[in-house]
Amino acid sequence: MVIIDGIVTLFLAGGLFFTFVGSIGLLRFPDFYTRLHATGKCDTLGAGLIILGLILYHLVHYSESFLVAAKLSFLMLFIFIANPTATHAIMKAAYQTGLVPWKLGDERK
Amino acid sequence: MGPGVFNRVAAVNVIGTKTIALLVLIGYYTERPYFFDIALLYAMLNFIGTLVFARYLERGELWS
Repeated sequence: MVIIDGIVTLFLAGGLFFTFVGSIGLLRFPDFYTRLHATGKCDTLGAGLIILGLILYHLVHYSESFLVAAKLSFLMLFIFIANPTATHAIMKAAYQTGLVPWKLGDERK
Repeated sequence: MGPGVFNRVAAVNVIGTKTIALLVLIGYYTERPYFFDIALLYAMLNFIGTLVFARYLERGELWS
């Protein structure tokens, strides 16, 4: 039990770390494309790690109800598929509209 | 968040993803399992909304 709780804590702390790093990247990067580069991956991994830790916690502590674990698994799978797709779609829309990427020496946009 | 409409759409997407994680955590903290259904619905709405907004910004119209 204690070992499993430690692993769950490790997953939650990892998710919190990645979410935090993604937020810092969203606030600090100079351009739209670089901002999405930071958040599109860090947010997906952060939310996925948090939900994975909670699935593990649920399977150990409330092992009689599988429905909640199934729902959370579907949620994690959906986030892992949908979030990069949404990032790609909005980035492609920006590129087709003609938003020029940032180069070294430009102003922050 | 940022000048321009694309930065705002990206910020809405990021806030939506963080809201999903927060909803799941609140559901565990208060021991109410129906929060997970709301989180699922919120994930789908976030994805569809971002996709529709990207399509609208790319083409200038939705139905063509």
